[in-house]
Amino acid sequence: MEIVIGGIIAIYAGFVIYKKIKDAKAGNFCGGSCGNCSLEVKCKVK
Amino acid sequence: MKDELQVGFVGNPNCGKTTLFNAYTGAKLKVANWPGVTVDKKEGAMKYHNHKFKLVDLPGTYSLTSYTMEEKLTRQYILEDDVDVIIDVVDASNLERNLYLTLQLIELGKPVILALNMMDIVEERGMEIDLHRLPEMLGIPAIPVSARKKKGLDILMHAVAHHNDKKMDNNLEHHHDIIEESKSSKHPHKHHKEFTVVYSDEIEDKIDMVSERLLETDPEIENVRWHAIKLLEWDEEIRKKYPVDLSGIINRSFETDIINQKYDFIEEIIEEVVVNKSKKEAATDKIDKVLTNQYLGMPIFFGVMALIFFLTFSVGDAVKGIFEVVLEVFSGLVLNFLVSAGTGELLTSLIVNGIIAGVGGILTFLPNIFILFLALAFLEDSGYMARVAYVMDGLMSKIGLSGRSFIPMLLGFGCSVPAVLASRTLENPKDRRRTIFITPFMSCSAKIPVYVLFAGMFFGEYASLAAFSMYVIGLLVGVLSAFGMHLFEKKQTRFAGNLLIELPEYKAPNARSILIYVWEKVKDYLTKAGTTIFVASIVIWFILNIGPSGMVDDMSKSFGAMIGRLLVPILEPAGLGLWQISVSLISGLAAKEIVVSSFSVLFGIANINSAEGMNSLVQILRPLGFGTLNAYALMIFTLLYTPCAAAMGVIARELKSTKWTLFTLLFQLGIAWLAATLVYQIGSLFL
Repeated sequence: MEIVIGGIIAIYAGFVIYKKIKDAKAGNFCGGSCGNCSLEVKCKVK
Repeated sequence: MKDELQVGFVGNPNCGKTTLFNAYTGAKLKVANWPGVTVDKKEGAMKYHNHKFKLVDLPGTYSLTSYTMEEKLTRQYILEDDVDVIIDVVDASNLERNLYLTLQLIELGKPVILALNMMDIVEERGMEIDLHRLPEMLGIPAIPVSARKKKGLDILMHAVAHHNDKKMDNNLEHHHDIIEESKSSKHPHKHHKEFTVVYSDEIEDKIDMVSERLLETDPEIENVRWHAIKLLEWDEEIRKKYPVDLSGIINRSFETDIINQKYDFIEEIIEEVVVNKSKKEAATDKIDKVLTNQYLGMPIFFGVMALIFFLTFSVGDAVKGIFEVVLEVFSGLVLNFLVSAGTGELLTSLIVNGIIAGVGGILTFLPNIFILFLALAFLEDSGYMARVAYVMDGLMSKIGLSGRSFIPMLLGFGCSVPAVLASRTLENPKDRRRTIFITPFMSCSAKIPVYVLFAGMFFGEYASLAAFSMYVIGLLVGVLSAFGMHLFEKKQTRFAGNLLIELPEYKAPNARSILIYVWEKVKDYLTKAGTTIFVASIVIWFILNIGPSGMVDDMSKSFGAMIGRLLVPILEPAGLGLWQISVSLISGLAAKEIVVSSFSVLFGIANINSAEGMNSLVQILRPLGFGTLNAYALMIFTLLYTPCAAAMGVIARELKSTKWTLFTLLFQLGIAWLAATLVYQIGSLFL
């Protein structure tokens, strides 16, 4: 059981880190959504 | 008449210009205007009664100064290209805003025809426009059209065909002609018979004198009056093109005076021409008389912001109890499950003291975040946001920025990332850089948990006031930093562009759009808790539970403590000389909420935002010599120090300069240390 729970946590944490690095490289700093952006400014506009 | 007439479509953004262009040419150009994305002119052709027309659709612009790409392109086209007639498309339902560009076009001296678009909306609103008086006051033909319903298109093109060889009608009739003949005037100009816009005697005298100098330099110059006006406005392009010696005539930019006098004339036109002003517009005018009043505007704005922040802390705190109960129940359930599943002590500690304490603790601040964004959504949706830029313009220009810079600063109260991106709407690169530089000083929503926790623990009934003071300090530091940069860069003196911003009509906020807005923010907060803060909590747990000799029972022997102790001598003068604080501040670079998560993990408090959790933390911190003053210094340091990783990334991308990015980040760190140290050292003398 311990291995399963620990494994799930490790895989999820690894996925989050991978996604963050991928987003940052793509120039998306809003965490994957544009919810933080307001008015006509969109995070994905480069 | 020429074989082919070149007709330019000019107008404000969203006045229906492209719709009109499409109606004539059959083109299907996308009807949209996203600032800074596409700045181009589009061409089309048509025939009307055997006349050939080349139609050119220009980017929407509010004025013809040389600040933005749109303005430059439109002005360059009119001045340099072989345009025969300009169709000035105006939104007739919003004449007051649109006529400013019209007056500038008329001053350029080319034949202009006013296309009064959206007449159907004017009718719907029960308004009427005096189509006899309007051309009389402007000296150009005015044709009512509806591009959407394709009405009036033939008459407009008929006017183009017949007006192309006329530069200016001599049918100008001003009521204020009398001023010219007034005995009190020492300057009997003939201008009221010649020009649509006639300025004050002082400016008219200067126009005459500058015109003389211009003609001495270049006797062939076309439209000398327009060039003279531009020189009075200190227009950089015209100054470069005609480096005329203006000593003894002007010693400052007259741009503001010229803009104001144009608007005075527009007011006069509206007064005479628009009948039954729409009720909505009239209500907006009445509200604006108070909200954008020269003396009341700023106190009202600060009052509104104070109300928002007090609501954020007081109402938010009142409902946080529900979240605390849920967190406690959840934490208990997970613990029971882990024990019954027979998981080891380490994994249980990681989940309960690391993940649940770190992530769950942050979730209990959700009500505060919700209230803040709800209030900001009301501000945006009601139409007040644009007014704030207008109201703050005076103060901002004193620190070398335009009122427009205040919008990113205001958005910075929500999150620095979109705020930094919003600075793209600023035309001047220096303004943009300075705005990016000061935006992170604004107190973003991620810093709220830090204020709620430390103000709640150490300030008792004054907790809201202590938290509110962070917003004021952030704003002050931002303003002072911008002013410092302004003084530093003063050598390159320039006249800041005047603020020209559309003030939309006030409207009752739409429930749906507000809910969507707030949901987006709440979703982001939850996403952040489930991703960045989740990972950070695990990392913090590990570095606090592993040391050089493997797993440690005492955190002070961990790698985290070793790293934290390195910074203790630096943070000591600011009253932050505990290794635990160093660790939490370093962790806060990932996201500012993690400062709080770190405290949860560091001291093993699962529900840190509850009264019980706060009491436990105070009991631990006080014996370590951490009191009220230290808490305030920590709040100030968190407010001002280097922003989170996402904000840093976006700053680096927008500044496109490693030098400036590093400078910005180090400056913020330095200012945070200085401010916290000053507060702690001076406060220590009294407390």
